Amino acid sequence: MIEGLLNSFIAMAGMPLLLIFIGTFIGIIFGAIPGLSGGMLVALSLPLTFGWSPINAIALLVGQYVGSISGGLISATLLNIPGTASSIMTTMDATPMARKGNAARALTIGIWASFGGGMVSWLALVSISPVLSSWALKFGPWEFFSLVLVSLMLIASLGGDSLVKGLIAAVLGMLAGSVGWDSITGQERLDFGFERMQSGFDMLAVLVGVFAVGQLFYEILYPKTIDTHDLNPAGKVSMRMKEFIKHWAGLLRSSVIGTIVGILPGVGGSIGSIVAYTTEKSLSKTPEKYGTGYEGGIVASESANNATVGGALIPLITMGIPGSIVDVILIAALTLHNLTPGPLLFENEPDIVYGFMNSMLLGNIIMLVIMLLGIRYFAKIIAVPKTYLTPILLLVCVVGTYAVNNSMFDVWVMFGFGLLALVFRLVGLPAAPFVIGLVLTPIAEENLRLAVILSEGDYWTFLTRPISATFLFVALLVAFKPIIGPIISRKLNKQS
Amino acid sequence: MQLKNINKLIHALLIATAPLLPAALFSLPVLAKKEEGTYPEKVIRVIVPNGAGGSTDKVSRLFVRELNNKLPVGLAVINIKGGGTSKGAQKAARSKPDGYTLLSTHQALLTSSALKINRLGPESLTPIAQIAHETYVIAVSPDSPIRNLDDLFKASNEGVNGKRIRVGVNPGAANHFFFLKAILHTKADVVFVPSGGGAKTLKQILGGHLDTSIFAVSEVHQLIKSKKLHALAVFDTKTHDKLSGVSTARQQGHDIVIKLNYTMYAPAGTEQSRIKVIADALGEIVKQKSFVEDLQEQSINPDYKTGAALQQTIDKDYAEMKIIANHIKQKAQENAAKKKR
Repeated sequence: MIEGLLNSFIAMAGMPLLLIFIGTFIGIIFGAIPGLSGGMLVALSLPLTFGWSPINAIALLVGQYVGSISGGLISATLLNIPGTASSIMTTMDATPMARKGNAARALTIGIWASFGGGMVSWLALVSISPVLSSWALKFGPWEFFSLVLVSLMLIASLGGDSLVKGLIAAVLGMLAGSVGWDSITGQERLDFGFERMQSGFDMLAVLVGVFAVGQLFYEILYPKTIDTHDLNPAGKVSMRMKEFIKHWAGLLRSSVIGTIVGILPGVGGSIGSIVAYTTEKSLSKTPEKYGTGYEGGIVASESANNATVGGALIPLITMGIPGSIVDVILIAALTLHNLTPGPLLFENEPDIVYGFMNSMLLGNIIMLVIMLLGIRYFAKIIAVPKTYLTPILLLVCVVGTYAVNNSMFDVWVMFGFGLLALVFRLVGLPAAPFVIGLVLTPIAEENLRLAVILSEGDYWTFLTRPISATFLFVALLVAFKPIIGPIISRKLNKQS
Repeated sequence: MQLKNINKLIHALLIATAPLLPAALFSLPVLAKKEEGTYPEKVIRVIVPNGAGGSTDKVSRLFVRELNNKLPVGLAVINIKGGGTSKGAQKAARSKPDGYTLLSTHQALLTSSALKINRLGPESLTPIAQIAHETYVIAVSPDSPIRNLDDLFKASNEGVNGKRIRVGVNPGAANHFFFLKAILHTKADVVFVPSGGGAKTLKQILGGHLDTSIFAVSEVHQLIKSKKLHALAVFDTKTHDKLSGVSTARQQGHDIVIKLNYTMYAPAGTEQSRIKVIADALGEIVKQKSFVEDLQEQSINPDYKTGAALQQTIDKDYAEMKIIANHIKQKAQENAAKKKR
């Protein structure tokens, strides 16, 4: 494997490297501008990659993913607005530090922490994926169905502030995912007599609609004016290695937490950084420092959110299950290049797997260099007026979605899902469970029915197979978390 | 929501729909490199009845890319998937027979027609040219007791360890028909499991949940080379470059040839002179070294046929597909009757 990884690394020189650079650079910008996100950028760029070699497509998209997660740090520090959801916890300490006149220092800590988190999760990606991949090859449809069920429950319960809202969004996504031909019987369903709906919704149109168009509509309805007078990071863009090293244990812990949270299907950067921050605070001898501009807080949040990138790529590569929302788009990208993510990717297309790994590694290094050198300039980009940006992005959405299938129907689907995403936002429903529900439903259905056929109608097989039974038990635990959780904590409180 | 905001949303929709104009222009003849009075003089739409990015789409786009260079006009690929390729095929068949709408497909046109999913049938289209073919191979897990075609035929009749063998297919699709074509003469009794196409079926075989299936060489040659799969036979007239050591069905004493033939069609009634223009251009393309290399990279071989020879191949294939379709329907009725009992 190491030889393959090295060969692929050498082969990345040239166009893939350039694309990683471009991807990371634009990713940082999108991550830095509040209202724009990595998901939006990757969805927007996906149609562009159609017709490219798969490695070039992966290089650009993974670069964007890494860049966007890191870019959120800039606005979180300077404006107290997280550029992306995954930088929410960064605002707790980076903003107070910036307000004390140490903005550049806060950014430098954040950048190095992001790099550290990215590298730890890259190591996990490289070492865990081959093992998990050969293990996942033994998974039958029973295990895959149960795993998808866990993913749906996790994203519904962790993705938003309420399990019920999460479940409503997930069920709506599942309904949208059921439109089209029944994969087993070939029966048409939920097409309401529209011929074009018989083959289901084009995934690319849906993703661009939900991630990009919905957000752009929201920006138009509720434009935010950014107070730009704070956008000049004061202080030195340097720090002593000694200062950074004293947080090594926190960085390592948070990176591991971020990686593990990333591996959990459908759960991404924001949860990773929240869990890591809370853990670090509870382990600290001086928890009162957290939230006052403490370096350890920035390290915990930023290393964890970047670590989720590598973690989330693990289930994608090994099982074809999205580790985060951006991974849903990466799966669509692979499908667009006639590649099926999952355990066979290692066997059939090792170059693609190594391409993912090397793109992440290079993206991380490039992110470090670009951000350290360009921090003062990136800060200015935040103030780019949306008046110019929004129409350009909408144009890219329309042309990109149209061009893949040369289909106007796909453009209307894109606008339809964009409006739906806007409505979701206005009524407080989370978009993540909707998209995950939509993507995972066909996988769940196919595996459920295959499992039942293979076990000749015997549903008990789901419980007699140990891995499948474990997954189902976890799904049940997550579903009853709102009931069980308070009971356990009450008992624990009584005991203490 | 305030009125001001609604106005803004309408404004945004107007901004958003403005770009539709250039998008629509893609399909207009304005972009064509005009040559008055001759065919072709405007953009030719090539319908691919599969999703963008799939293997049929990829191969079709290779032809289209080369045709773009050969013809004085541009060609645009339109993906219309669904109904086992019948949606796209019917759309092409119903188009004006003026040579500006073509269809790029393979035997899926015949299988969906034999199953009556495509109600218009292959006679609704005129074949222009077959450009290439993809060879098929039957494979099993390396630890399977089935080692060659004779073992497979025996196992299909008698089962393995007292159990009927489980074969992964995409119901009604080419791999389902192709597997039946290979074993039909044995009066086999196997369990067809709807595991889907290539990668999905492979995963089930490697996991030990299925016994066998039939694959395009491109889907499995690496796994066969690394001994993660065992190939029983290649269904071509000669062995395949990427599967050294794997004998053909003929070499094992069974005259079975199974190939996926990539063919371009025009709606029935299209002028022969126009069909000839496209057929000739495709004939020149298959002679190009770079094109052949691109095909072979995907384990596909150039195999150019046109006119009566092509029609004969299609007719023979369609007759076989109809026999297999009847067999599938009969089996489905038997299973339904068994369930009722």
